Parts: sequence; structure tokens; C-alpha cells
Amino acid sequence: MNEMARHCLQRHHDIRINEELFCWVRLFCFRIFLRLGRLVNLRLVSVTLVSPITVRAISILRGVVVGTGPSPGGKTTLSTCSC
Amino acid sequence: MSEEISYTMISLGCPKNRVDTEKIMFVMREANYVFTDDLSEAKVIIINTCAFIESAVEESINTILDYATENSEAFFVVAGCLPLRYGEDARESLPEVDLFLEPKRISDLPKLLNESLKIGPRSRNDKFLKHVNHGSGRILTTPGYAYLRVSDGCDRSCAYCAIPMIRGRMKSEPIEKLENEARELAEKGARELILVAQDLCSYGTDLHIRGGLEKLLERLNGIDSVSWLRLMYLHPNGFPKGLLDVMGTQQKVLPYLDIPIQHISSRVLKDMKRPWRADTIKGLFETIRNTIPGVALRTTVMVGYPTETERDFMELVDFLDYAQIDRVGVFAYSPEEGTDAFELGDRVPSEEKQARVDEIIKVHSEFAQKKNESRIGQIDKAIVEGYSPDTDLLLAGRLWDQAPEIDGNLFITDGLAVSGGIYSVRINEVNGTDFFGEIVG
Repeated sequence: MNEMARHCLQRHHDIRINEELFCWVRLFCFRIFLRLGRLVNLRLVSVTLVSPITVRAISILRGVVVGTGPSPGGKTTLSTCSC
Repeated sequence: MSEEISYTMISLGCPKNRVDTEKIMFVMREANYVFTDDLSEAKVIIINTCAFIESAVEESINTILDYATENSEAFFVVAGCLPLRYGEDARESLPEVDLFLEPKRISDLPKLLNESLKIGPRSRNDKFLKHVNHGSGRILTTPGYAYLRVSDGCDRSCAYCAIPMIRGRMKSEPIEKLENEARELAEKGARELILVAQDLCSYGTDLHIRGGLEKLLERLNGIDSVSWLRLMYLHPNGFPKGLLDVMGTQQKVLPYLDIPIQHISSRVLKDMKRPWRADTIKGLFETIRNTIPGVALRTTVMVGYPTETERDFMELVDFLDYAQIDRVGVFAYSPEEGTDAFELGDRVPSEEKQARVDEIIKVHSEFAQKKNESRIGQIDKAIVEGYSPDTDLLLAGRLWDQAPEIDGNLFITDGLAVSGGIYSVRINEVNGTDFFGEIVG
């Protein structure tokens, strides 16, 4: 493997790690948001108003399948974080 | 007329690469693509890369991946030395890139884009393709000056250098073609033409022109709207005998010579496969200074070559201290795959290389500061490029002995000027390599 390929590999690795880290930071922040919500007795009224990434985070946290809003085939099933 | 599609362009590396960038921008404009500096709205991203040393390769890859991450929807084109050097490896390692473009295919770019972006044929293609194939189509991206690439590639075999491997054997452009290109650049506002090549001294030898550089300068000197001709990258070996005479007679050729010596130790030079000796270099500098009083000399040196000893390095320091060269660029040796020197390994530790770089900078800076300060109060010719990038309260330009990007700037605190104009400037202050002055005529 030459220097160029090595550097590409390293950068791709760094980018992947950054993306995963960013995803988990968002997840962590949302978890805190949920806890705060419970504290003040708030409920999430609509998942259609939040971004798909948040929906994915919700699905993991709640361990259930949730909908992302209206779509031609019905609900979109999200069971894993694909960040 | 077809719809307009926006593109953005990044140019990395040397002035020779910039010439290709300007050619790419020209073909894009002629094919109705519209330049934007807003990355998020660009439908096409073009990066013209540099790959002659490892750090340049890294910068190119970082830039490509940063931009690809920022705007993953755009069609991604990578041009320049990276695909030339790494070919198929680059294609495999960078799946984000949609198209790798070699310099010889610049004029085909709109056609390739049209096919890939599935947009209709553009009526202006044939006209500009012919123009570009004759080498004159460029967008001028530099204020008041332009680079004129007189040849590409290199026939020399310096042990550390990857350029011949990337750019191939030297290929000179014919004098007539260069004269036409120079006239077009002058029409676009270039008052200063900077002749660049990997090896300016050998210009025309592949075309069997004797004294090619001198003949070219005589022709360029005849272009009315060009005021300055600057020569960059003259190898110490093969310095044209008639060049100093031409500089004496052709008034537009600036008394500024960039002669990269790389080292002064005969032993290191031999290891570098640069077949000349310390005495040759010293003799050449002496002859130049005796023939052209007041000439500004620039050189580049490399430290940390695998066989460079402390003693060799001190010889270089002593030489620079003695020779008092006006401008010095210094680089740490970088082992490049595929070169002869790569087999020698990277024997000098990075910290030691950096210490040697710092020492050269220190020695040169002390001399340069004194020399620059001695010019306070003098009136010299300068080219004005426009407002200072930092503030509209200052104009920015360069004195005649300052090449763009590498020799510092001139900041003008008083006077009126037009971009590209050449004026007499009184120097009032010096800060490192930068000068401050006022227009007096």
C-alpha cells in the first residue's frame, strides 16, 4: 500500500469515527432531553415534527418501532441506528 | 441555451498547476457552467491537486474528503498531479470522486460532465474546444500578473524528485504559441508575466531550438502592454549563456533570478544526482552579480537529505551567510516513493530536520531584515494588485523584486492606483519580508 492509499484509509477511518461520535453525542443529548421532559411531566406529542435522526434515537431508547410520519407504504420501520 | 449549472473550484499547489486551473475555468465558463464560491450550492466540485511530496498528497486528500463530506450531492472532479501520480490507486482509494481528470483532457471536461450529469449538448463546445486545444484559453485569476507555463515535465533525474514520474519528460510549448498566449493574457490585464516551468533553462531543447529562452524573451519583450517579465526556476546547471546579455538588452526582463540550488555540499549534490559542484554554483552567482549589478537572487534549499551530515549542513549555512542571497526558501527532505532517494530511507530524524530548517531561516532572516531596512527611504518600482486582503484602507502589491506568494508583500498607505498598474513607491517601513510605502509617481 502506498502513502496516498494509507492516508486515504486513515482519513476515511477518521471520518467514520467522527460521524459515529457525532451520532452518539446527539443520542446522549436527546436522552438528557427526555429525562428533563419526564421531570417536568412533558410528553412527546408528535414524532413527525422531529428529524429522522431523532426518530432513530427514540426507537433505540424506547426499544420499540416508531413511525416517521405519513409515507406511501405506511410506517417506515427503524430498528437500528444507521448513522 | 442550456440551463446554467454552478461549479466551484479549488486550486492547490504551484503556479504551474494554477495555469491548468485557469484553463479548466475557461472551458467551464465557455460551456455555460457558472462559478460559485458557495460550496453548498455547487453542482460540480473540481479540485486541482498537487502530489509532489507527501505533505502535498495529504493536503490534496484532506481537501477532497472535506469537500466531499460537506457536499456529498455534487459531482466530484479531481484533476492535477494526484491522479497522474497514483492512477488506479487513487480511483480505488477515493470512491467519493466521480471523475479523475488528467491535464491533457481538460478540454474534454464539459463533454465528460454532460455525459455524467445527463444534460444536453452545448452548442458552444466545438468553438472553444478548438481554442483550448491551441492552449490559449484561460481565465485570469491573478491580479495584474499571469503565469506563463513555457514547458511541462522534466528530463532531469534528481534523486529526490517525483516530478518526472508525475509529469513525464519535458515538453516545451512553441514560441509562437506562447507569444499568442502572452498577448491574450496581456489583453486580460496582465502587466507582469511570470515564466514558469520545471526547468526553465532547458526550454526549447526538445524542440531543437538553440537559445530557446533568450529567443522567447526577445519575443515577449515586444508585447507593448506587458511591462515586466519574471523568470522562475532556473537550474544552476545549464544556465543559458546568453540569458544575462538578454537581461541587459531587453528592458522588461526583471533583474530577478530564481535559481534553486538545493544544497552547496558537493558530496550531497552528487548524492542528489545533481551533477554540479559547489564551485559551479558560487561561480555562477558571482558572474550574475558582476554582470547585472543590483540583481535580486532567490534560491531554494533542502535540508535533511538522507546523506546530509552535520558538517554538510554547516557548509550550507556558511554559504548562505556568505552569499547573502536576497530570498531563500527552505524545505525539509521528504522521502518520495518511486524516487531513487527513497531507497536510502529517511535517516535524519524529523526534529533534526526541523531544527535545520529553523537555523537556515534564522541565518537568512537576520541578513534579510538588515537589507530590507537599508531600503527605507528608497524609491522603487512596484505593481499594485488591489486592496489589501485585510483592509480596504491599504493597497497591496509587490516591489519589482518580490514574486507573488513567496517573497512577501508591499502595503501602500498613501496614493491612488489601479489594479495592475506599475508605480514608483517610496519605502517607509519594513516588517520582515513585507514593505510599507507610498506612491510617489
